[in-house]
Amino acid sequence: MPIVVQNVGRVYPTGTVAIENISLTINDGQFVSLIGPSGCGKSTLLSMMAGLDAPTSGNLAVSGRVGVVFQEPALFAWRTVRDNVSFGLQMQGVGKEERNARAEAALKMVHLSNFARSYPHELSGGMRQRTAIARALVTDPDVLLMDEPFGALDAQTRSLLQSELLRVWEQTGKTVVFVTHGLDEALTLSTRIVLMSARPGRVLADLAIDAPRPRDTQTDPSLRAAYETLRELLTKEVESVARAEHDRDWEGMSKPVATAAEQFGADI
Amino acid sequence: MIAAETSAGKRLQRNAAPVAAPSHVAGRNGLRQFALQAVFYALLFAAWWIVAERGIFPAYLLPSPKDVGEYLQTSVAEERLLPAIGTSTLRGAIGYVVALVVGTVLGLALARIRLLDDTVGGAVVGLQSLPSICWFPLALIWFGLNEKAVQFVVIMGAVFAVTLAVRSGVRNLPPLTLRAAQSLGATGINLWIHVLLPAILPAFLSGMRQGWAFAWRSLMAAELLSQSLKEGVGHLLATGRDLNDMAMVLGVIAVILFLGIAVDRIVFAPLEKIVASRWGVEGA
Ligand SMILES: Nc1ncnc2c1ncn2[C@@H]1O[C@H](COP(=O)(O)OP(=O)(O)OP(=O)(O)O)[C@@H](O)[C@H]1O
Ligand SMILES: [Mg+2]
Repeated sequence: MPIVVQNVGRVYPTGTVAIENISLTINDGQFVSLIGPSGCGKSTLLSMMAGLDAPTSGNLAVSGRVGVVFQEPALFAWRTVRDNVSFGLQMQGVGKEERNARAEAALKMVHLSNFARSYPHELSGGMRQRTAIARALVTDPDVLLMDEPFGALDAQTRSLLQSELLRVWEQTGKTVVFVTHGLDEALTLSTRIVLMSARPGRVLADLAIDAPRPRDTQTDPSLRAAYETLRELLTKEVESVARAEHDRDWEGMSKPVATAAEQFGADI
Repeated sequence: MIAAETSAGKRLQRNAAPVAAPSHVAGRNGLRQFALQAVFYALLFAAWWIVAERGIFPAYLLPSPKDVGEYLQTSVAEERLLPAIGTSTLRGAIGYVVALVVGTVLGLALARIRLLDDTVGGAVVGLQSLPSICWFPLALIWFGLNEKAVQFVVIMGAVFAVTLAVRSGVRNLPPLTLRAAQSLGATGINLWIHVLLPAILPAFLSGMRQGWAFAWRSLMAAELLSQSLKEGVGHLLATGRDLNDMAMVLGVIAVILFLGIAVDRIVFAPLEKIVASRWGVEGA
């Protein structure tokens, strides 16, 4: 069991309670999508799984080597794209020739071979994000933590990279934790979807998704059902937040806010 | 109709400009600036020449460019100017390198050790505002009138600029860069060599550049006040004053100015440009 999260809470020094009492056990080879309203603590949870942050309460254990794709590319400005990708290998002491070859293979996978010698500031936002994905994959980690990795990409590139990720996951049996705002994306990729509440984040729903692949979220009846369940929960969650924030104004504002909440729930 | 056409034309131009502009415009502006400066200095020089030749001021107050040129020529011929330049440059370089090493280590320490920053950090900011020649009397008492005293002033002049540049370089690192590096297994010495140091290079270079400017100024001040040492260009300047030789004073000032600018342009400007273009830093 590579990831065990037990009653984990995280309070920031500013007093913000980002996460409250989350328990989650993620098994070997699972592809888990984390979904929840903006600011509910998804990035916080991921960075604790990555060992870059410590919980302020509870326990969290991750076994195996971890690769992380952050919500922003966070590339090294002074290294070429290829040397960014090979950084992790260099830290492991892999020789120059081998790490260059492996970096180039990883770049091929994210369709950036032609930019191996460019510097990050010469790339577009989506290309930077793809570089960051290659950088996390190249060391072949046991656990892959990805924070909205495809958020900045166009629909075509996104679906290409989704299939690449699925291929890698199927071939290597990595454990993947994948944060996304796209219900469709989560349903297409995951074996399990964890829905988090608004801040402070708790687990609202935990669904196993075992539809056969390749999946079509539009036609598969079990996926449609899961979609409806998740959308309804999310809409309620966002509405309740809006209600709390708008307090006594709720009645007067109910129409536009409810509509917005519905749209938000449909594809947060 | 005409008005509408013109405004449409303007809009088109405005849209097109940013695409074609950068190198083009920069080149033209650079050339224009260069031409203007050349004309400006030529006029200034001509005015000086005319005023001096007309004898409007006595020659001991305002010698002609010819006198200054003659001084420089004789001084080179007498094998006095070039050795003095060598002596000063070496002196400056030694103090500067020491300041660079000390400043870098101190800056890194301040950036990484909170307690040190809360105590020593404040003092460094304060000391940075003290003109370094103020250390000279202290240095004279501690070391006597010798090379050490001059070096002390040079080091005190440059060290805090370097310290503060390194400190702010580390402080302004995006935290996510460090986290990304850590998640990829960079720890301890690897984190320093492969991430922290390269990441602060742009800030470090501008600190180096500023440090050199301070070092050179401090050295000239110290040489003016320490005539018995091996002769540097600051000493030549003091000698010019003692001899009431205005041609010598102006000639040496020109040399000092030239040396300060030359190092900045030849050593630091290209380095900063390379780093800025590779690191993608705007504006340098
Ligand atoms: N370094 C920090 N210091 C203080 N508060 C923070 C810090 N980082 C995050 N927070 C707070 O913790 C909460 C959760 O943040 P987090 O980034 O984990 O949200 P998220 O679920 O990833 O949101 P999004 O979907 O918008 O990326 C937010 O309310 C945020 O304001
Ligand atoms: Mg986030």
